[in-house]
Amino acid sequence: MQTKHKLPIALGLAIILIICVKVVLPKPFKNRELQKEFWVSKTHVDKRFATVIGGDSRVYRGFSTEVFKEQTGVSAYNFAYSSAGWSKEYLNFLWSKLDTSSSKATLILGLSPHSFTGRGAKNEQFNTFASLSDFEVFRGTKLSKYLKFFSPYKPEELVKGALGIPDETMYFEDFRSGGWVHSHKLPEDSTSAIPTYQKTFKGNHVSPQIEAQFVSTVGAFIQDKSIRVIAYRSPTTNQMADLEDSMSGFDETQLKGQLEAVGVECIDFDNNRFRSYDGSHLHYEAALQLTEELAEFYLKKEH
Amino acid sequence: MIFNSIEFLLFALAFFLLWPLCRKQNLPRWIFITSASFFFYAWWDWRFLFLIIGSGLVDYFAAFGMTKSKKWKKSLLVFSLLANLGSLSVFKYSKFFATLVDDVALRFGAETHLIDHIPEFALIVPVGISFYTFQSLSYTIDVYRGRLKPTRNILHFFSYLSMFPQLVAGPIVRAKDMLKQLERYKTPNVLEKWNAVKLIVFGLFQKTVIADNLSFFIDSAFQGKTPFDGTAFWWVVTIAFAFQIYTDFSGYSLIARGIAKLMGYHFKMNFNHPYLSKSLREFWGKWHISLSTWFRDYVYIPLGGSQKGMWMGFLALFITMFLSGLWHGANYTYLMWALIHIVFLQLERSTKWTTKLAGSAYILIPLIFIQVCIAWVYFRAVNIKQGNEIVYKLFCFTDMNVGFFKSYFDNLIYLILAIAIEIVVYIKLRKPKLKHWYLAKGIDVYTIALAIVCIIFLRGEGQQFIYFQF
Repeated sequence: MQTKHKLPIALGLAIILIICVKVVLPKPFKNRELQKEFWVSKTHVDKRFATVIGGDSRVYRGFSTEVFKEQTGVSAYNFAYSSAGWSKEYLNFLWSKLDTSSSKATLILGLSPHSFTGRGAKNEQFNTFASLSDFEVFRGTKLSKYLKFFSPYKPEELVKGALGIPDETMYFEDFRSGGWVHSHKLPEDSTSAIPTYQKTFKGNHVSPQIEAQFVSTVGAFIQDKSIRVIAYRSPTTNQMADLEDSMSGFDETQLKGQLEAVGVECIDFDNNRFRSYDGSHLHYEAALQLTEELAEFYLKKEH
Repeated sequence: MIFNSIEFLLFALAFFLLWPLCRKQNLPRWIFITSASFFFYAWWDWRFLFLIIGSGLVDYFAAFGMTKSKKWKKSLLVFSLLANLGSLSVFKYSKFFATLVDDVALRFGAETHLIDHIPEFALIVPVGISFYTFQSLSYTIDVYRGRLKPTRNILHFFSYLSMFPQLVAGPIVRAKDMLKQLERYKTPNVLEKWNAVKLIVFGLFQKTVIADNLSFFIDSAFQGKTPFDGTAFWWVVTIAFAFQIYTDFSGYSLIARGIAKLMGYHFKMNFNHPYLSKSLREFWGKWHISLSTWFRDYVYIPLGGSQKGMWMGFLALFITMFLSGLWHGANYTYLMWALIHIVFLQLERSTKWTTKLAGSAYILIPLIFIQVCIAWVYFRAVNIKQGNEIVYKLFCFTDMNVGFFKSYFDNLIYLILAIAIEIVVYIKLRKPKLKHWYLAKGIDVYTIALAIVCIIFLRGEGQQFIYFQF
């Protein structure tokens, strides 16, 4: 083969192979471009919402804005992030997304012990998306719809597809436009997250400073614009809740008292009534159930 | 603007569209390279452009002055060294040294709080500062030693110093190699273009398919976000990191060389399959070659190298490796990494054990690789304590369960691929006929086509190149 022919042949062959991949293989199980679009849009959405939801992954997997809107008729957006913590920056971000001119302006905050730790307050995922350059935001919000055709595959799905193995071990995630991630996992195991959390809380305890700052900032929000703030501890398994309380030093009753003192409406949920697929996060059916109950609470005590 | 980003693709398209219009004459060529490179750097943070320009101006005028006045030659070199290493110290080491002084003072009962007095801007490490500082330094040192005639044209100098393919993560090109090349206009021929494409595609493959797919597994392990913690797990993590850092950095160097080749320039090889080395000395001749040779030529040999007896040789080795560790960053983990290499290198030198086993490649290659891996643990660890804990786990043989393979199949398959590629390279190096067959049958064409498809459909989560932080 002559050298001058090598480049055109290689490129031609690559194009043929790309077409073959697109024709023969099913769509990737998880479209990374759409995931990116989800997080970039979530962080850089221009609109303000009457109801803003904040918290960590238990919240973005556990609160369906679609159901909430359906039940209450109020626009809502779930601004929760992985391992999010209650830093001043994150609270201000939630505040910036709230339509404070609305008479129904409400912040719904899903709490977890980790969100009051130093590691949580670092807000790594949130900061990654918040610090994107203008071009990266443009890429994430405008180009993703074209780039999604070139979303990569995971080797496991290629192997399973080729061998015809059914999906018995998969993490199903559907990234919805309101910031909710409709999730479940196969096989379901309500203890699988325990070892990871045991590691997470080693030397990483609830910080009284972060708690105090959270209470005072939220209190200031209520004072400033007379908005409504609803807080709840994200339901999980009892085993996980016990582990978190014992390892992190989280005192739920004390925090609840402090929050109520500044005007926050607190709501309790019984962990036993919610199904978790990994011992930490809610199965999408439980997420729908939780959202319905929160919507009910919202309507019952509407100001 | 990383090489595997859409921004860079657009930048490169614009650059190579305009390049034929500018490359024919010296001045437009140098202006074009310099301005494009400044734009490339400013994409990260335009504020730090002043550092490259400042460092470049100091060295340009210092070198120029050396030829004008022999009396001031030494003073000008000292001035250049102080200016370059001074800016490097301020931006890269001030926090480290301030903490060190604070800690020492505290032990004697004094509270200095130096760390609180460092200006905020000095806490940001400008991208690629160690690379362009060393490149700039080599220019003045070579002029001082009389090995290089300084250029009179400041744009010629800046087109060398700031050339975008190597600006932020090397290879550290020498002025004596590049200034001459930049004086010429050379259109790459068909073979050179094909080789350039091969370098870029293989570089992208190494970075996006291997390194980026391994990163999740390694980050989870070092950040403690995984339930696995046994001996087998940490060995796999360590080996995975060895391949991640290799493919990440080697990938960048290959892309840089490929882009330079498309422009008509030649950068020397920066990696030559270092994990196939049969001695640690050989490893250092194959790993980050441009930095290793820099330290060899400007530190190790001036200190006497191995020619002045065992103790002086050890001292030269110690200082060179210590500086190499410090070059990577202001962290005790890098110094520990260097220290481990010093110990193993000195052992190798004094016992000559690798020479005694010279014929046994199958024993030597894994043994050298294990030594390198142990050092990598500290390089990647958050702190020395974590490094010690991991090394302990590597050798206490507590939990040999490999159940984590199932959980991390999507990542570890790429580790297997990376190892398989090195084995194929090893076979190819031992059997030249195979290499000839590979080229004669046009296997490289199919390999490139397949690599492009893999880059598109098997790429990992986009990450910055690891060496950008240095």
